[in-house]
Amino acid sequence: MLKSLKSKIFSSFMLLVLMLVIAAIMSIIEFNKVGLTITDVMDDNYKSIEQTKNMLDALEREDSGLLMYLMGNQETGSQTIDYAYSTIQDAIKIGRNNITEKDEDKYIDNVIKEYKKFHSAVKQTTDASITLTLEEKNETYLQTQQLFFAAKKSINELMQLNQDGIYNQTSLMKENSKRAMMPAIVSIVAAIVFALLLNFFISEYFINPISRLINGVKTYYPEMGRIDAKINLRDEIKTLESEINNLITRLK
Amino acid sequence: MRTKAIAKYLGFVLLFNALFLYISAAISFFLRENSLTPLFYSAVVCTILGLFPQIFVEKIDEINFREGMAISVFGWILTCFAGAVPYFMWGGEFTFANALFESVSGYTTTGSTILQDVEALTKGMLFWRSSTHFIGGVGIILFVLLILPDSKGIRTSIYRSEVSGLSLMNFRMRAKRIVHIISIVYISFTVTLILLLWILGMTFFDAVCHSFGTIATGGFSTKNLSIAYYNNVWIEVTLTVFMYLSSLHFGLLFLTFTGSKNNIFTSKVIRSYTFIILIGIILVAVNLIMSSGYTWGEAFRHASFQVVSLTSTTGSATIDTDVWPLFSKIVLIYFTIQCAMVGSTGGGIKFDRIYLFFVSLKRRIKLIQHPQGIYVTKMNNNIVTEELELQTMAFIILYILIFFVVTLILAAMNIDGMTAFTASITSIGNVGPGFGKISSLANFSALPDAAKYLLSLNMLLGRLEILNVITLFVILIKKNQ
Repeated sequence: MLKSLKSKIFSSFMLLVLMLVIAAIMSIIEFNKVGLTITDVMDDNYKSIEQTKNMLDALEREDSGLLMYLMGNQETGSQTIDYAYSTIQDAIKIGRNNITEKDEDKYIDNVIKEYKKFHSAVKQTTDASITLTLEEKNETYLQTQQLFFAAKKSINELMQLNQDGIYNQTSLMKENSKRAMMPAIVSIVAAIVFALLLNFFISEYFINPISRLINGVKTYYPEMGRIDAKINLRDEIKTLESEINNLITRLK
Repeated sequence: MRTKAIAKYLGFVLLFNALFLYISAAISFFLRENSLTPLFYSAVVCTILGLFPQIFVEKIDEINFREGMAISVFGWILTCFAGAVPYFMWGGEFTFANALFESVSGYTTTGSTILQDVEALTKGMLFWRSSTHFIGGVGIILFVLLILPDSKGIRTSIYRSEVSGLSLMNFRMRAKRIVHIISIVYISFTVTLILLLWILGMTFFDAVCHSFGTIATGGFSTKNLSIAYYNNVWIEVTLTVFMYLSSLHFGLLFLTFTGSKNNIFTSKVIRSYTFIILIGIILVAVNLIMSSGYTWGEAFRHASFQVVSLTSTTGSATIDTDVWPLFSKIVLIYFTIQCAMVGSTGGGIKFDRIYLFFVSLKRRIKLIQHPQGIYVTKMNNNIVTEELELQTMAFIILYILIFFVVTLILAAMNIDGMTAFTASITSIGNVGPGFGKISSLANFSALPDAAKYLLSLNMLLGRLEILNVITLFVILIKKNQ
């Protein structure tokens, strides 16, 4: 226990300040986590979803390119297929460097595998298209469609994975923002308890002894010899009581 | 009653909680878990509110019985609220009602949970959850007494308000020595069990958490399937032995280990207690073999674990007992009512009181037959005073009354009969699981918030042995009048 009133008051407020400072630091850390989660969503998951959209778009174009090629527009068809191929390769490259979800690399491997099958089929069809009849062209195109859907499905699965990732990150954000507020809420409750306790101690160790001292002075008469305010502490109020008694002695 | 003296000791209670919160926060910190903020900040708040009274209140030389009682009762209430803070801050499944329920369940070593997915908690939170069992096992007040500097009358006053008179019969020594004996037995059992579970294949972390839960007879697990997760007979046997030991009088256990003549083998009460447990195991096992087609081995394996688990008030599970035949359920309900022995970490009516009830009944019958005769009630060759006898009878009546009223209120909340009945009995007995919606492998999450608050109060009443709480409130009311 501290003896002087000054140190008691100072220590009490220091404790309160410490509690509030730590609450603020904790809240900042938690809000920072929310910020990082947003960055994760924006930079990583959103980027991955954008790339899967590019892949889907390019895949559709490659399919159109094949159709154009088979219809006789070989130059435009060939350009479209090549452009789509390079777009998908770029998107896969970006996706590979931006793995954010568990097993995402396996999903990308699956996209590569399915796309490779589709692209090889497209190439084989374009190479052999001169020798094919219209019916054969039609049949070959329908066969490549199976591979087209398989590649599309694998890209959609990759997109779904990242969308789920966004949903999870958002839930985490919600949880983190709630958690960031908690130190403040607990601080408010703790500060109220602290205030009630402080009120009790101030009354017990400051107000009551002073009241007893005032009463002692008020009811003092010379025959009593000295004032006894029943102060059992060794703080400034006890010193005041002793000094009043010294003063009485000196005045006598 | 001096409020400042009570505040000073409640401060110590908060500081003791803060110690375990810091350990849990350290676990979260090293494992980079997201429970660091809730655990660390709760520890900070407990430290600051615990230190605050120490700044003002001078050294206390003496504490009277009333103050001791107030420290004990308010200490428990304060601890339960403080323990709920990290759960509430962490969020997830913890609403305020859920956090308070989990905290009360932990400290009172009930072991009931509102968590549907225990495994979703971080290691730091799981450790804190198990720590509440460890702290509550022998009682936070006792731990505080252990670390307090010795002052005249303080230990005795607080200690006598914390433990029942019946329990003191086997302790013929000073409060300081009793506190040390209880702590020695408690800590050495915990350490031994940690090592055994670790050797038997649990991870060190799981071994620590399950040991805290077993020696404290709490039952919180780190797994959704409780002990059934491990499906290991040796783990089950080890836990059964330690649950049984933890349900015995710690003083007698200490005397047994130190070679005293007054030990667990010479105690008539312990012999009767063990005999009834064995009868219970045989009844359940035979019923399981005949009605549910269990093999002999399986029947005795599960029957012994479940009977000892419930009677010791641990409440750990190896199987869903809700699917067992009605006869087995009734036997298990009996053990949920009877519970462990006084002087143990278990709750409930306690076997000693039931034993005393029958010994006392026998004496009354003798007195009716021979009104001029002089008969005394004896337990383990100790004469039981008339006052202690009356206190025990009053306790049993109050216990049954409270259990009945709580069942009634739960039924009024549209909770089905079996769930309401066993929730009431399991919470006041600090056992853990019941039947119906709250069976051994289920949880209390489906109950409404009002029921959770009511059951939290029931758990606290059971842990504080009812009479203490009532006496304190009678004192406070009279003081105000």
